[in-house]
Amino acid sequence: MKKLIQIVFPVSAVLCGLALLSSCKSDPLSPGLEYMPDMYRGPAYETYGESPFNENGSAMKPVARTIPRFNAETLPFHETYPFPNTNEGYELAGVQVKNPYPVSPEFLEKGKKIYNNFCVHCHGEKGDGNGILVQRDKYAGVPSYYGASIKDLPEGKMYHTIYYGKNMMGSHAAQINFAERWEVIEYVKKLRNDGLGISSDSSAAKTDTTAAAAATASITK
Amino acid sequence: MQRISAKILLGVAVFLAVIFQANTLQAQDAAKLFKANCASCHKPTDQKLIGPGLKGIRSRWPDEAKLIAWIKNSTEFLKTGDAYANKLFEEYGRSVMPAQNLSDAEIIALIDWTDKGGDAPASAAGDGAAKADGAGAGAGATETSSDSYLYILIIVGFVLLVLINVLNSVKSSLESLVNEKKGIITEPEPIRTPTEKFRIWASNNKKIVAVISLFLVIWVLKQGWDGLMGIGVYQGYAPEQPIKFSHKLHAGDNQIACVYCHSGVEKSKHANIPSANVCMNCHMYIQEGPQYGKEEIGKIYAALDYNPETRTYGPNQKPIQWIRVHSLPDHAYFNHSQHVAVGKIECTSCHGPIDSMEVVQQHSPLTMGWCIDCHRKTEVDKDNKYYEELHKQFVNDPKYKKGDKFTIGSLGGLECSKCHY
Repeated sequence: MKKLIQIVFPVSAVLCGLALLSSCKSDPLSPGLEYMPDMYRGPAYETYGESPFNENGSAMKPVARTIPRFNAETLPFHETYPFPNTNEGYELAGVQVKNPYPVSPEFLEKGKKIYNNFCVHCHGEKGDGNGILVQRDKYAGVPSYYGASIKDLPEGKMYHTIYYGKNMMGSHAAQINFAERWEVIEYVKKLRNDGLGISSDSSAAKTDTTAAAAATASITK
Repeated sequence: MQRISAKILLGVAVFLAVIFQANTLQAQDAAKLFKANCASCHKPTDQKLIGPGLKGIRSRWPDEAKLIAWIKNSTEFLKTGDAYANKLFEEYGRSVMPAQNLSDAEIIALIDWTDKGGDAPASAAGDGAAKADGAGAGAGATETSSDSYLYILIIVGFVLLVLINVLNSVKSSLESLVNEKKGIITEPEPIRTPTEKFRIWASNNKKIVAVISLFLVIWVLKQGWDGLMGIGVYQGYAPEQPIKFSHKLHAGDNQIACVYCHSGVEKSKHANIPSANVCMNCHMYIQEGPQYGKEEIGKIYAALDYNPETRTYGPNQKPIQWIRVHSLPDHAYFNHSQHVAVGKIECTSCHGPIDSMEVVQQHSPLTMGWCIDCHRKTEVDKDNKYYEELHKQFVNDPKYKKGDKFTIGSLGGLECSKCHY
């Protein structure tokens, strides 16, 4: 018995000591040690770092007169979007802004990808305005693409809406570029036609032109 | 007489019941109508969106006929020169309320419903809060459980030790009592210090001491080795961010695509930390979160100097100082677009189950061994035209053996200068 106690006592003491030591695990709030921080962090300003050159302390703003670098193909469209964020600009865009790209199945496929990344959580997979955020009661009043209010919306107004936002929809200009906006607009038009039961592309074009004509008429009035 | 009064009472009760029934039906209808026609610009509370909050609308429009005309066709009504309507139009940034194709009865039901502040949103928010509370508590419990388990173990060990000591001393005193009775006089043990005792015990039990010290040495070596290997590895780093943004809520529960916020991931070296305007795409409308209420979303508004009452941005904007979690050393080059757009690697294969993380933590070690390992294993899509020529070279190489895999490594993905330049 005495021998057993003699064994149990020290062994358990050592085990307790080990448990205590190993409980000092690394702190998730601290990144840990580095061998040579100088080799890790260069002196140049990084994209999301701080810099003393901008008033707000961010290194992100380019210096004055920096020329934006765009793809040569899209450069002409990047110049400026001439329509202001007003009711008049919206109507004008509806008449004058047109898709410069030819529409192909691949183009629509790209549009579907953009749609499923940037639009689907509010507008829903079929464009019925019943996305996951609406289903979960986070958002309300998202119109259906084939509902009465916007089923005749011309593509220019869609572009204007993506560019500036409309009502409770914010501007998505910072997230999707010029080409991607047209890809997604063509896909939205496809969803709308599916919802309305229109299959051929020519009839879609027709609704656009009639809507555009109506818009022109309302402006000239 | 009693019978008659009972009948009257019954009648009144039925009448009241019918009225209430009718009222609740109307309220449900109105809620539906509101969601379908008004909710994209109005809330049935005090909160302003594109248009004013509709609670207490009756007191603002004393003439109900005018209000109905305004709702039916606001542009026509503006032309009548009504002062209040024109004031509203200017106040809310000249945004036009579309003409509503509703009947007078429907509009009156809507006005009734909104005038008292609606009903659905409050209960929905309550549900959300309750759910979130439950989830929060659950997460907390799992986090602390492993720690508390350890402490319980230590306490139990300590209690057992004390118990053994006490029993031991009881036993020895009993023994001496028995000996006294038998008439055997034991010599009192010489008084020793604990270190002396330990030395004697150790010299009597050399085997145990050897085993224990062997374990100790191994343990110290392993700890030291792990510590050295862990220098510069941030795996598990989960700093507290300035806004308690939950990826679990946004990417998990609400299923918002990673690219929605990290929109540069397919186009540039960086995946992009979203600028606050991306937050505002949703949080212009959603002003209260399920977990922290207005507090955390209010921090976005503070950074943008945004006033949700007037929906205007002020001049005192300052960047949100997010704390970087994943950080490669300056001498290693990494490009997101290369891996995501060309390599078709899923976000989660490096960043782990982000959609279940309340606080983002670094999932992968991001060591060079980890990079190289993937470059050795990952096979390249041969059908891609860009790699066709390289694949020919690879197959025609004299070192090529049948069955060799066409990996990133065989394209030169293990060259030093691929990432270090």
